[in-house]
Formats: sequence, C-alpha cells, structure tokens
Amino acid sequence: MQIYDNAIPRLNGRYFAHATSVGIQYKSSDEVINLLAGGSRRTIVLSPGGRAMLISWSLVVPSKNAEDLRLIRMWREAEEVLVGVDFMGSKLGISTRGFLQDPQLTGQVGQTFTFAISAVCEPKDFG
Amino acid sequence: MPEATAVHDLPPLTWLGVKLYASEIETSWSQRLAPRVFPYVDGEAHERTGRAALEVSATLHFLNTIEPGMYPRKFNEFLPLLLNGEGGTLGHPNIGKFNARNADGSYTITASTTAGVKLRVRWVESIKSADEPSKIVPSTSDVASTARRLDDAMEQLGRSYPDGMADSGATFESLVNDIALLGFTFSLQLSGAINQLRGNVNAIYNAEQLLCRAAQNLDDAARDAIAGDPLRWVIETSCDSMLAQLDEMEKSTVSGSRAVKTTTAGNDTSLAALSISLDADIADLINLNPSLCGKILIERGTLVKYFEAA
Repeated sequence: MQIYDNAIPRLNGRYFAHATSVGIQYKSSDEVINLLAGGSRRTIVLSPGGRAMLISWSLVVPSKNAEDLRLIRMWREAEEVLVGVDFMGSKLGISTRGFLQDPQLTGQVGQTFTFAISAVCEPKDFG
Repeated sequence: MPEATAVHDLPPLTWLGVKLYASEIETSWSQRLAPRVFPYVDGEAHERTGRAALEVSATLHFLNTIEPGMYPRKFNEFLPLLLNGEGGTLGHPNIGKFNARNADGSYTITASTTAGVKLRVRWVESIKSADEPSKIVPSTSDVASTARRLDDAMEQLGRSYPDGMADSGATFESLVNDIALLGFTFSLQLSGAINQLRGNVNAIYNAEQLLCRAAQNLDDAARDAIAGDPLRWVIETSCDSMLAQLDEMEKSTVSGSRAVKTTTAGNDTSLAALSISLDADIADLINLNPSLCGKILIERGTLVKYFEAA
C-alpha cells in the first residue's frame, strides 16, 4: 500500500511521469502596513499584493531521447502554456495557465544529466 | 506598554468630519522672517513677521482589509471632498482642529495593491479671515490710492508735510496703511488715528488756500502759474476726497465695533482651531491676544479674548 501521494506535472496535455521532483509554490507581494490606531482599532493590516503560483519540476535526460529539451523553445518564445499537476492517490489536481521560466540543465561527471524548468501561473485551488 | 505606543493613543486625523486611516502624518511650518543686514557685519538679524500656513501631509489607506467597503465605495465618497477644493475643518491628532484646504494629492491604482489604494494628501492651513475679508479692506484701499496721489503731488510741488508728519518722516499713504493694520480691533484707537489724519489733510488744504491768497500779491505771470498748476488741483481734490473717505471709514468702524468677551481654552488647541470654535476672526484673535501669536499650541486653561460674533 502506498502511504504518500505521488504528483505528476502536466504541460499542454502531456504528462511528465518520469519527473524526478515536483514543487508547487504560492507566491505573493503582500505589504504589511502599520496604521495609527486613532483611525482604526487595528495597528497592523495586510495590503494584499499580486499573487502567483510556481510549478517546478525536474527530469533526467536520457541519452537516446532529448525531446524534453524542446520546452526551451517554448520558454524562449514566451508561449502561454496549460500547466497542471495531478495527484495519483487522491485524484486531486490543478489546471491553470502560465508561462515557462528558468530552464536549467545540469551535468556532472558521475551524475545524471538533469533538466529543470518551472512555470509561473495563475494561482488555483486543488480540485 | 502605553509609553511605547503613545502615537496610537492620539485622536484620529479627520477631514470635514470623516475619520481617516493614516500610516503617516507629516506636519510642517515656516516662519516669515524678514532679514536685517548691516554693512560690514557678517550674518543677518531677523524680524519675525508671522508664521506661514501649517502644512499637513498624510498617507491614507483605503483598503478593504481595514474595513469592508473602503474601496471603491468609501474612497469614491471621500475623493470629491478633496477635489472640490473647498475649505473646511482638519482634525489634527496633535494640533487640534483648524481651517484648511486640500493643496494636492495623488494615488495609484496598482496591481501590487489589490484591496484598495494608498492616497497621499497635503493640506494647508487656510485662515478664516482670508476666506471672508473684512469690510474695511476695500474702503481703505480707496483712501490709500487718494493718499498716494496726494503724496505724489506734494512731492512734485515741493510742499512740506505738517509738523507732526514731517518729524516722523510719515506720508499720507503710510498713515492710511497704519490705520488699515489696526482693523476693527480697537475702535477708539482707530477713531483717534482717523482724526489725526483728518487734521493733517486739513492742514495741507489750508496751507494751499493761504498760498493762493499770498499769490494775489505776486505779478500776473506768477499768479497764473500757481492758479493753473494741475498739481495744485490734484492736492485740493485729493484733500476733499480723503476727508469724505475718512468720514465713511469712521462710520463703518463704529458700526463694526463689537463687544470683547473672554473665554478659557478647554483643552490644548491652536489659535486657528479657536477661531473656528469661537466663530471669531483670526486676525482679531491675534490683535486681542498678541502673546498667543507665536505659540503653536494654546495650552488648556489659557484666557483668550475675542469679539462677540456680530
């Protein structure tokens, strides 16, 4: 029995089941404001700012198939993409739109060649 | 720790009675200092000629996270109170209430602040007497222009001023301006000054008449030159006009005189705030209470004289 869930990233309908890591990060630029209490009972209030969701994943690059590297072209052309993450156990998932960011290739002697990329998107709830 | 959070115990900033949510209130002022320089002496001395208007700048927040409905509803209700430029009462946390006007403001609708807007506003103190000039002002300006004509004509004809004026180096225009500075404050003092000026005008007029009579003994050419000199005509008509205008000024002064009352400041306040609460002209308050003029804060319990509202 599998205790912990497993998440698979998805991009324009294509699943990356071979992803070696997946991350989902919610980002904001909120500002904390101090108010003079003469005008309010509150002395601290949050001024919500822009919000975004960052989905990132990394892959190993097989020696005979480097098809995943085509994502770099989509990043270079700032192409809007449909991004999602699906949980295999709970069947919960996220589908949203966004743009690819920060593709990164890392290779080293004695280690697997990896390809990491992320997508910044409209924040969505799991459903 | 109330000492450490003292600013939170202050009353709120208000404009036209609307309580505002502020994160910062900056208050500034300046003194109108007339420099006095002395030859071969470094630096300068200063004569204080009054305080410039107080300026209050504030950062206001209209955020729905402070209170529901702050943006856009309450913001849209408040904005016209600034844009219309009308004067009104500004409630300052330290200084108290005083009459002010919105001088400028700005706000930015930005995607990085999604619950409302931050508004930067600046007010300037706007004294009541500037909004409602006293009625002595126009009549004084008429007398002043007549006095200036008389001074010019006398200078060009080389006439000398009566004894009292010649000693002090005063001109008719400077005497009229002195009267204007008195305003309605001390009606007896004002009447005295008007009478003194009237006496000086009569002295000039009589001197002109005597000169004409004396000229009857001169030869024809000299007599015609004096009689036909347009500047002599200016002197005589200016004297007539000034006497009539001084009569009008005195009448308006008597009808404008009011009873002086005394009150005690109930709390720490400002002269401007007192003028609003007592419905008294701030220039009158300054004249009646000269010792309070230089104070930013009128302390609680201070005795203040003011004119009863007409």
